[in-house]
Amino acid sequence: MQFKDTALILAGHGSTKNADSSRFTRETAHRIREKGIFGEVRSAFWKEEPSFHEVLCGLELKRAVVVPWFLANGYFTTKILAKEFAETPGLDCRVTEPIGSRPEIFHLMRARAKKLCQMGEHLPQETSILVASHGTPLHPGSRKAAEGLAEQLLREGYRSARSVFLEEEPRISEWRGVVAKEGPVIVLPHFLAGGLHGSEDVPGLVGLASAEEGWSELNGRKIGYGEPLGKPEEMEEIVIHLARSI
Amino acid sequence: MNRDSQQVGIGQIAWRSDGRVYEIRHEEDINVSAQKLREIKNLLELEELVRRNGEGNYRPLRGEKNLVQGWFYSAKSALELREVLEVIYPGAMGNWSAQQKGELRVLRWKEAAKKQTGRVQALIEGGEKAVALAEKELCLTRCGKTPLWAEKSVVAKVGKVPFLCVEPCPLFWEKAKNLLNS
Repeated sequence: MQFKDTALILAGHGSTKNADSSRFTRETAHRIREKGIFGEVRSAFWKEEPSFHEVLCGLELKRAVVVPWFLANGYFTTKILAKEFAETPGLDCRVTEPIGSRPEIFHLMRARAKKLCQMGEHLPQETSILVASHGTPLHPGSRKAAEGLAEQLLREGYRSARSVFLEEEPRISEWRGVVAKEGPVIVLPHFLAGGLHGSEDVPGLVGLASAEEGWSELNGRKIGYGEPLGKPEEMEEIVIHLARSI
Repeated sequence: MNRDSQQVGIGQIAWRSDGRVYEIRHEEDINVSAQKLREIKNLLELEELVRRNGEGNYRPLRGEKNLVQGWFYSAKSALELREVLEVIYPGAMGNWSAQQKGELRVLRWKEAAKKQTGRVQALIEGGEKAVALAEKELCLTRCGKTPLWAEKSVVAKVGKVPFLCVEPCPLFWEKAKNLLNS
């Protein structure tokens, strides 16, 4: 089905410091644009240009669907985006659920955990999983999303699966207190790729030297680190599905 | 590209067209032989190019007057030209188009600050000096846009599309916050 009368806007966080933070959002927008499904495809950011306000000013079409490039229905989607995209005169603008709301996110996390088990030749029943997420005292949404993913992963037969956070308890740096006493540990960043949280902050807080996918040894313990989410080839269909379903 | 064809520009870029192809360049390169320039073949390549300055550092202020030189892009249609401009100066053509239609919505800084998080909202009461200094040091010195939100007016130039700023950008807020705290 074509949506030639509709502009698709990918609404992300972006960064004033890191050039790559928004890269996958922009790449996904390019990929979708080339498919020719939507009349216009734009990306817009909280911390980069174009801003949400600017992108709305510049649309040729009078109908827009906004897909939040966020992993949870949390502070940004409910407080910031809701305000930014509310009632633009002359424009029928609708905001979908964030990409993190889709069940495919769990499938991607599960695939990352499975791949790491295979790479390290570890059995799920001996392996602890940590879903490392943002969390914020400002809104429970981010925590809820990460906890939901950990619960689903536990049902896959892992020894344990818990969530840890940057800005809430339990903290990522205190991960040793939430995993099994021994055995390999897989850390799955519940962050969108390109940003500093998934590529620097989380590995640093865990004690890893790099964010590269694979296994390292930390004080005699095997630690596997998974890829962050958000690769364009994984997100493209999720975004299209969300935009079409509104 | 025919040098007699009409030249149009915005910010630091300019383009000419023979009616079929729009050739976009840095305005300082407009008369340089294409053989001496690097041809950019797709929008992603262009995006990676213009997101960094001549030293390879990230330039988050997209209107900053430090756009790299030495390249050209041939857009095969007006639609592709629009996409190219969107990559180089996101939102700029839309702002101009909205202004022409009388639909441009400019957000004065206090109004825009209300949408921000608490640390920026702290500027609303007593942040006027920090805002004025940030405007002087960032908007009026480094950026090529006209900050309509600061009640500055566009100076019309032949062949130049007005380069408009409709609300303070994230870099502006960062600078104003730092100035307030210092």
